[in-house]
Amino acid sequence: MTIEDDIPRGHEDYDDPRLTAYALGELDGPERERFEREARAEPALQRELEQIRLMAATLTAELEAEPGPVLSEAQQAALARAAQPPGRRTLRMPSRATGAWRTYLAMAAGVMIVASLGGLLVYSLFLPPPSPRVVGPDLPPQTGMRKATYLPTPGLEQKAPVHEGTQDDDRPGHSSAPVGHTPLALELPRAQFIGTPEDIRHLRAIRPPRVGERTMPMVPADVFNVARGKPVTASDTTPVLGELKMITDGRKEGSNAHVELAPGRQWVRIDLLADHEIFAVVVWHYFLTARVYHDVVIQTADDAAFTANVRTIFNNDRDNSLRLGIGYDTPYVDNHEGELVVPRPVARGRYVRLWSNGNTSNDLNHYVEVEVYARPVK
Amino acid sequence: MGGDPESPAGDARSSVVQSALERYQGPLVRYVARILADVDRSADVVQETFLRLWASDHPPAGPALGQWLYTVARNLALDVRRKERRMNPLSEVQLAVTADVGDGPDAQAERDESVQLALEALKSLSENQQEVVRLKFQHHFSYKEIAGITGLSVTNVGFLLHTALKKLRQQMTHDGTAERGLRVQP
Repeated sequence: MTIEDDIPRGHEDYDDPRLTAYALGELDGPERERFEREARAEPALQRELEQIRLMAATLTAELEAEPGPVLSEAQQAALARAAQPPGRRTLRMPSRATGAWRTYLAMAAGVMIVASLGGLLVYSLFLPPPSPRVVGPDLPPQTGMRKATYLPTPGLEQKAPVHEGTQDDDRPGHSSAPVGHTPLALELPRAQFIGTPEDIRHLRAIRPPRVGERTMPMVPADVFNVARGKPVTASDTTPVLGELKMITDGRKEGSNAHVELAPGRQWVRIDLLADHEIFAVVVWHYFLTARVYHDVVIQTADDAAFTANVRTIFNNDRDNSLRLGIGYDTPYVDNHEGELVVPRPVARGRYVRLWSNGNTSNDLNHYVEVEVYARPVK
Repeated sequence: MGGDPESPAGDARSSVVQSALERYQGPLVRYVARILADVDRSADVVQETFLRLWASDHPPAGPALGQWLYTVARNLALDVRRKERRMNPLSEVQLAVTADVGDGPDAQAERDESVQLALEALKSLSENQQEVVRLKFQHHFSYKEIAGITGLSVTNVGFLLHTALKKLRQQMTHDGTAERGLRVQP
């Protein structure tokens, strides 16, 4: 976008709408490049940009957490009817609340609270209070934690990370799932935690544990894990532990199945060796202790430099630390199921790149496995 | 009417509307409820919005769909509000209070206070500012999309957001919230 010239120029006192637009990723072309140059040369301007982004991330987190209206079953049914062809609609929703309806709503709110507290009880079973600080046997001693406080999103529901809109509902059993599609099948390692986990209960805005089975997307029958055995490169060319090829070797079990990359912002890149239609990406960071990896970003692209046909299919970098744009996905606790990312619409590209920026136990980056469920472009 | 509902094209449209409903019904009700301060009326407006999507001769697709739905819902809500002049805030009963998980009572209390302060600070903004802030940070629209929904210019949207963020920062720093609840880095 372009903020037109009627806005006062100059940001000597940083009272410039273009500065906010730049911080929020709304400037393009020469104007954005100019701000980038100026920000690099002016530390005070950098601090101002960080403050704007911090405020933006705060607002995003808190507005997402704001309780929203809840519709009654009758209202939901009426809305569902509105999505039906006209000949199949029969009833309209009652337009005014009755005393009974308000009572029902209050009861529904109570049920939700009880259900949430139940979830807390279950969750706390997996997160015992920390006493002695112990890490996985192959992990280095813990260093100072970074970004140990996420912004609050109370009540945020567990949801599959589905992105960028959808025109097709591909849930299993849904009538609109295309013929010939089957539920994505994953081979999961055993669920286990070792050692005494780091206390992460103080973290805010992490995704609460899912209730029930994970809903798997429907994918064409010829889709499979095309990342298996494919070459992997990384920003850290000499991993602290393991080898990069372990990220696509299919092995997810055991305490030494992971690669450890250097501290801070690091990426790994998988070359699928040809253009693919990408239906899902599953990433397993180190999951034998409960931890949250910071700034997880997953992108696809046509070229290794990620300049052509770049798609960001997952981003929970809430404060834009990676400078790839503010992410709106939710930080999560890694577990044996892996993080399933389903790009909507289907992504297309040859390369998949995954970023992270340390974790809640230390500043290092770990990968057990990355799987890319795709098929070659015909 | 936008096509024979029993035809293949009608089925395709049904699929599009179903998908749109699943994705947008919650956010749309939330958005409209802020305009109308009435959950029941909001549900009516959202229902009417999807009926209009069905009836549209040229239903939008892709990224344009969200903007179209919000624009229609907003216009319908403003019509309702003009007629009824309902300006009452949402009651406690109408809002489902969702409990947070994962914190002890102290942390929960501290965060509640922080969130309340942030939401209180939002209330100090003008109605226009509140709306663009919510469209940007709660519904994740771009400046251009917000301009399309609200009928404001892109420049106006940028100016409203800039001044809103500046005011919120000033207020929340003054309240001490920035020191307690807004820090991302420890």
